[in-house]
Amino acid sequence: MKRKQPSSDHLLHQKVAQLLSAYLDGQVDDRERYLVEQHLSTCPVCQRELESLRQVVRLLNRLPPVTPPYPFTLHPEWVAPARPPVWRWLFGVPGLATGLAALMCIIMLAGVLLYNQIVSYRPVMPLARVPVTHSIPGIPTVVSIPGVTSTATPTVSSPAVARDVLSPSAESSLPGSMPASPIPGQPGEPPAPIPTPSPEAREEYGTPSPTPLVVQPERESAAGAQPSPQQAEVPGEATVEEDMRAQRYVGAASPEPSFTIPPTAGAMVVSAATEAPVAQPPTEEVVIPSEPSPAAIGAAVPPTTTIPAAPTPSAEKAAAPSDLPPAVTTPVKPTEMPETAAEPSPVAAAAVIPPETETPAVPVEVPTTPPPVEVPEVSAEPSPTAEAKAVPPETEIPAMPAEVPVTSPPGEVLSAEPSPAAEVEAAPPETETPIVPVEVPTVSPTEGTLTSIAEEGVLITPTSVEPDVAEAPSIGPTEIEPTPTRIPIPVRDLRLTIKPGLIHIEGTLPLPPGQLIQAELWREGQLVEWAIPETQRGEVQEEGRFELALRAQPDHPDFDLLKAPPAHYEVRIVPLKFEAPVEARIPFDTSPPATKQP
Amino acid sequence: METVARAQRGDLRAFNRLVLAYQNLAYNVAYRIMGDADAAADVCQEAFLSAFRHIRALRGSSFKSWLLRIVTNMCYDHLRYQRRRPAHSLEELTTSEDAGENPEHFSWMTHEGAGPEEQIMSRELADVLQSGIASLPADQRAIIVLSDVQGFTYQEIAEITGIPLGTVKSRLSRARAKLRDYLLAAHPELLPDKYRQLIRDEEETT
Repeated sequence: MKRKQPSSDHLLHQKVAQLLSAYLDGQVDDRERYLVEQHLSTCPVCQRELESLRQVVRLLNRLPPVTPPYPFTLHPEWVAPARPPVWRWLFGVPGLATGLAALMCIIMLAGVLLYNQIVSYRPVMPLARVPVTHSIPGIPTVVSIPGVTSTATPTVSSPAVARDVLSPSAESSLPGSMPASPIPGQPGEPPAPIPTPSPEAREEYGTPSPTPLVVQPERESAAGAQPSPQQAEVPGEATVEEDMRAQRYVGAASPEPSFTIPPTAGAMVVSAATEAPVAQPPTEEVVIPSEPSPAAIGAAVPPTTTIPAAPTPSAEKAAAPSDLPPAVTTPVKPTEMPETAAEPSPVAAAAVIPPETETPAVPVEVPTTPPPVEVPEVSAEPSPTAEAKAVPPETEIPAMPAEVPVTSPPGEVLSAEPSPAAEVEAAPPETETPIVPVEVPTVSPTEGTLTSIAEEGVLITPTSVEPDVAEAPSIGPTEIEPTPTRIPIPVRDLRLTIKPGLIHIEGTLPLPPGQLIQAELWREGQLVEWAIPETQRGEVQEEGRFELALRAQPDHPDFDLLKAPPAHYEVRIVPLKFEAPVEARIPFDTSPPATKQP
Repeated sequence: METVARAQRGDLRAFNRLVLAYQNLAYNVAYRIMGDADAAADVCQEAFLSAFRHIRALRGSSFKSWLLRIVTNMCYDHLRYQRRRPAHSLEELTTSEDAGENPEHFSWMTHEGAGPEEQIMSRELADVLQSGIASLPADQRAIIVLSDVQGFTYQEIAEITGIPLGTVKSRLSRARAKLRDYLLAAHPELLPDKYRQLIRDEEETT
């Protein structure tokens, strides 16, 4: 017994020793407890073992609590890593190469300058300008939307945008140096200055976008021909040359590395234009197929648009554009522009234009270029369509259209507006306008905007300058932009829906969740009290999503914006009590459905 | 819990209320496992950040358990990292020999008639216990801290650590025994006289 006991005791002892810890905590079942207690009564070793463990636990229990050195509450900035902070949005675009960041900065600066300039010039404030400002931040995103334009690859588009932007900026920045741009605007002078300075100016300074416009005119005019060498291409070459110019401008405007990009962009645009007519196989979007025409139109339009902007000058040479051009032109003096319009249009036009419907004008000059041919067709068919598609992107573009009014196209835009498409985001270019009525307006969300911006940008550069000048005189009255102090921020995934008494906006802003935002409705640069104030406020949700439903005051005369006189609107979204003075602008135009051309 | 639900919807203010509610617990757990104030603070800050980012993945279990799981896992990560880059640790602070030379230092701890003041653990004793915890493997540290420092039940510990209840039991048992051995070696005065005597006897007999 005695000999056996030790061994059995030993086993039991080990078994119990393993249970002591749990026994201490009462975490043993009845059988185990019985076992342990039986053993403990006879085993001093296990008793002490238990006692030692109890002591350890007691000591640990008495460890004093420690206090965190600082609160671990999270700062909003830490939590929004996924979304780059506002300032990064402004100065660098996510997704784009760092190289572009620098470019962006420049563009932005240029945009601001241009913006200011514009403000001073025009009261009306065409969309174009606005877009420019906006465009910078948004640009990055652009990619997808580009599809609207037409064929161009999404990717490409971004560059295009950049380029466009640049050119405008260049102009804006160089106003002084660039006599060319301003000159054109002035009726009398344009012709003269252009010929001489233009060539030099281009080469030396940047040849801001304006030059291009001028150039053509010159050429046409005959005398001007000289300068053209650089740009000389003219009708036949159209696409290629245009691109080239575009590049040049860019380069000239800002001696930046961006060069490469521009070409692509140009290429894109051009191609788009060209293809569109042909009936390109818009690969990207389903919508596109239907759009081809739109695209074409868009392309075409630009020219037209341009033309108008440009002081019609060329009516004579360009002439062809019988109807539209003349109208536009008239106001201004025809001296040089005709071609200008044509040229620029191709490039920029593609994107921007749509709104405008200028197709008609295009025909004449454009034709030379491959696209032109198509253009005519496009105009014929799609004109309506074109408008529609144009619209979406246009939010910004519209601006130009706004002025454009001369041309009927804008009207179409609304009607045509593929509002649906717009909502879809990508869609801008849908043909189905019919749907439109409900949603209509433009709307291109950030992305859409971006696209449009890009397009617009193009137009803007070349055209805008002239137009501004031209318009300035006519409208002159007000300066639309009261406060350029707010820094634009992009709106992504924008969906804008306009119905009678309602402006519904949703999208994504680079603002932290919980941020209060307030929308303002601006009409032709004037803040209007249209919506019920309570409906203008909202809160940014997770990941920057927001949704606002501005409801019109019931008795407001313009309860239904679509039935009100056509105008350029902007919804500006301002964060309340925010650290930086920023705002998001969502421009759109309303215009009565009109038929451009027969 | 409504606050959790709001935090899950991205409400940072709601989440920060949770942070304030649980930061002491999280910090204490991290501090006892890590044995270092700075590292514990880093771990907690990271853990809360991670918790906010993944809070939508929290379903079913309580926020407290889920948070502590993040904290303990981050502690493991930190400890692994430290092991690869050893820094001067507390082991330098208290060697068994140093402690052995001043056993009286802690004699009052086991004194039968210890008064209220003596109930308050001295800084030195806390350091000794902390270094004792630090001598344990990481998985045992977390369990002994959760159980004996923080007072969680076996069930709660199983939920926090995600290990089976039986494993919690056995791991805790080993951790306590190891810590007891550590104290016995480094600071035998902390343990009951009887126990020390017993050990001495056993050593002599063997």
